[in-house]
Amino acid sequence: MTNYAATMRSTQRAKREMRLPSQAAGEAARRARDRQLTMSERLERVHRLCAQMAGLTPIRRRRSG
Amino acid sequence: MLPDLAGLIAALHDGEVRFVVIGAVAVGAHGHIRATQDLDIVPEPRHANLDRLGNVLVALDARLSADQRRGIDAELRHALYVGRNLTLTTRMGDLDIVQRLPGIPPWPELAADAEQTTLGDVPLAVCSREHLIAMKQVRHSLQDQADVAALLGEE
Repeated sequence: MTNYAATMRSTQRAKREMRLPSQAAGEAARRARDRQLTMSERLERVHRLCAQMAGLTPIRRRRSG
Repeated sequence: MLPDLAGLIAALHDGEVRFVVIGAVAVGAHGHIRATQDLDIVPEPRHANLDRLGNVLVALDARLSADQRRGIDAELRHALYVGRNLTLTTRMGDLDIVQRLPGIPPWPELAADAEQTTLGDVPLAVCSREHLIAMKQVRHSLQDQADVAALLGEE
């Protein structure tokens, strides 16, 4: 591949990447979505998420030395 | 929609995707349970694994959180190949694909040091406590600071 071709490929790749919304935009969209929830819906969500997390098997600490 | 953390992890597991869990679920596995909105994973960066991940994401009807019209297409698969992070919403909840993050070790180190555990009946690999603390110390958001204090408090 010539340098020109390599340059074109990297430019095209950069353009493709530029079209993706940023991580921050995704997080902002999620926050906007979650703001639509009522307070009781938020509390229900936290309660049920914590219940799911309670299903995690705790990792035992490795003993050093 | 309520996230189904175990369902998300099971779908990735059934799709033979290799990944390590970071974020709040990892913090929870290390003994500090807190609510979270999403599942954060670091996938093994080999293309075959990213292909499998892409297939699972399609099956989960994953879409960019910032643009719900945008499903997993060729450009997003390419973005995975080049190591981009993806902030997604699936039918089982929000999923963050993390490949670039300050403090994150190279995959071989992350995977070798990961701890094996379960969420319900579903097996998963969780980021080691040491790497988790290192990542959060670099990012240093208020939530990260609280997580580091909790993780260090377990000592």
